[in-house]
Amino acid sequence: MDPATIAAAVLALIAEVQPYLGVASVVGKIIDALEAIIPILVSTAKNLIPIAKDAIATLRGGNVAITADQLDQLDTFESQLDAAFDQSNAAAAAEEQAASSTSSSS
Amino acid sequence: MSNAGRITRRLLFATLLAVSLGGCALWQNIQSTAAVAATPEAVKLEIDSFDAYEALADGYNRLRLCNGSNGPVCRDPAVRKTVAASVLAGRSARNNLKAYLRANPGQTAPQIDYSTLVNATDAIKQALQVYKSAIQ
Repeated sequence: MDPATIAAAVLALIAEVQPYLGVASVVGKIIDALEAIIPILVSTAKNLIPIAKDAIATLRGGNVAITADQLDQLDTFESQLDAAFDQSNAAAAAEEQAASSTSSSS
Repeated sequence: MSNAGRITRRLLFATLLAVSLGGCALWQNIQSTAAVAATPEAVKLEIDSFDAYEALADGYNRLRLCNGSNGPVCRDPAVRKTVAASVLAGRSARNNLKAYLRANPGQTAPQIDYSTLVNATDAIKQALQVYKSAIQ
């Protein structure tokens, strides 16, 4: 599915449930994050799906405490997310360093 | 559809979305940075928000390097470095908050870690906003 379509669907869904929640400013932050994916062509858009599902689950839970299982799932997801970011950040830095070296030597 | 066509379509979609959200109350909530008590639910949602921005930053890292003529859909090294610093700062606060939630179920989390996470998220948002503004 097109990343923009996914993001739009998630945005629409959260906007639908938002009136029933008491944490509008927090929901707004989630929506803001999801909305931001649209203009930037993110090949890893699928990464946002578990985040959105997780956020919705939390919102639906109301005042229910965050469980250890949820934290474990978050740990697993975030270890993948962190590794992906570290890898892409290192690759980008290396590319920028190479480009800088090339331009300064020419 | 060509890459250029897809880019154009998505940018148009983003612009339409921004315009349509501009006048609604929900979007005004998005603009608000009012402090939220660091309840477990608020912390969890802030973590989700940060993670979403980290995923976005990962996508930004994967854009082609800007060369002065291939913008605006390209990666600016200065923006990447700013974002990377905020991601690392946010991660530390995020992990502290998760450890706290695990050790203290149902308790309000330390405001300092929560504020650090909020600030890191906002900093990433702000850094990428420069890029976002350039294409709208």
